[in-house]
Amino acid sequence: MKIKILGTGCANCKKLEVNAVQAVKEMGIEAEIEKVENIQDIMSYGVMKTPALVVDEKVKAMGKILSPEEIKKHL
Amino acid sequence: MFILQGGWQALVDYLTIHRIISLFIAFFLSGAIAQFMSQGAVLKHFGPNAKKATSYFIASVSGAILAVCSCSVLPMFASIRQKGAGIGPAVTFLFSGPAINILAITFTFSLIGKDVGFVRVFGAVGLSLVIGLIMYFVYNKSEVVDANEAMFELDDAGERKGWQNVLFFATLIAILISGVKNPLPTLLLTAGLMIELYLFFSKEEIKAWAGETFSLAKKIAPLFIIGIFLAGVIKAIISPELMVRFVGNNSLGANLFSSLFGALMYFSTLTEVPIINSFIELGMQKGPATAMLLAGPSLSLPNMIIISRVMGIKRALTYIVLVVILSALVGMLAGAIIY
Repeated sequence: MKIKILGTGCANCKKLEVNAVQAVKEMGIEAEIEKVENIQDIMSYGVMKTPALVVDEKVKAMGKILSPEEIKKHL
Repeated sequence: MFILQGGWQALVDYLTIHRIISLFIAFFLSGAIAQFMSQGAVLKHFGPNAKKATSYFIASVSGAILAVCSCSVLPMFASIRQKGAGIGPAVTFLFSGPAINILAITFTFSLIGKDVGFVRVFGAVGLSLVIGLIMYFVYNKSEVVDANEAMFELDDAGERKGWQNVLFFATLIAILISGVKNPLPTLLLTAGLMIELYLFFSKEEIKAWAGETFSLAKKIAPLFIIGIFLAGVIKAIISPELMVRFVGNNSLGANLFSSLFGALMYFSTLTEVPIINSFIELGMQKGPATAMLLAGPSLSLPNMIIISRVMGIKRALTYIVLVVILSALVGMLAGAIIY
């Protein structure tokens, strides 16, 4: 499973990444978590509001810092 | 020691009950915007097929209605420009996003004064429109738009009808404005708000609203306190003679110096207000102070670099020059006519 966190680097985006790491750990699954900070790359997903959560190349949520529980629902 | 005392004194002077209650209300309003404002309803006006006039107007107040995190402004700007309404509305959004922030505006009114507050609000909206339009006329022909309508269609319609949302926000804003100075109208409005909440909102939504407000407060209140403290320290360190020598008059030079300084300097959310207030107390005239208030929030040296990576150096420089010069002009005009 490939998880991408889209964000240009402010505290919100980092929080989403931290929550994603926690969600993955709690579920005990194999997942690769990548942080995408380049604006062109972020736009290529059709995302307007960061932070955004992308799982296996599908945008699952944008503009919100999901809690680990909410992230688990998308994994 | 004297320096720290200056900071502490500033805090004590500022935090009167009136002001704290006012800020309290402002936080709830910001929380409501973050929680209840339908992003979808706003976003669709930035799409490639939206009516241009609407795009511009909505972009010019976007800071108030979109509640963007400061790092969201740049990706959204890039998207609006390349995939949506184009460089004009995108630049309007770029300027107004950080400039029109409910908390900062409330703070400006409450700390610096109503005159500067009004000029800041109307100046920011007006400037964002003018700058966006100028960038459009100069650069639109050479823009490559890769329209993507779908990106701007967000389906987040809630169970509430449009008019209910409008009434709710109008009530909140009315409460903010009537505030502590007019207890009777405020109490009546608050009662009205309770009725609206009971009729139009579910318990979960109200809880979510409170949660959002609280997390905003957690993030912002420290910045707020540090800003006021720093402003007090500045007052203790900088000599009034120095301040007056550079910006103690309303000349074009003083205004340009201020807007340039504001553009280069990084002000973290809200901190521009108490810091610039200290400058005023040290002798800076209100004209240059307004120029700095307009140019400050939307630009900073690090942010200029990112903007030039997204727009290219030529456009970025044009934008920066427009912000600096026009902010200075607004400051000077306000200084001459209003203050």
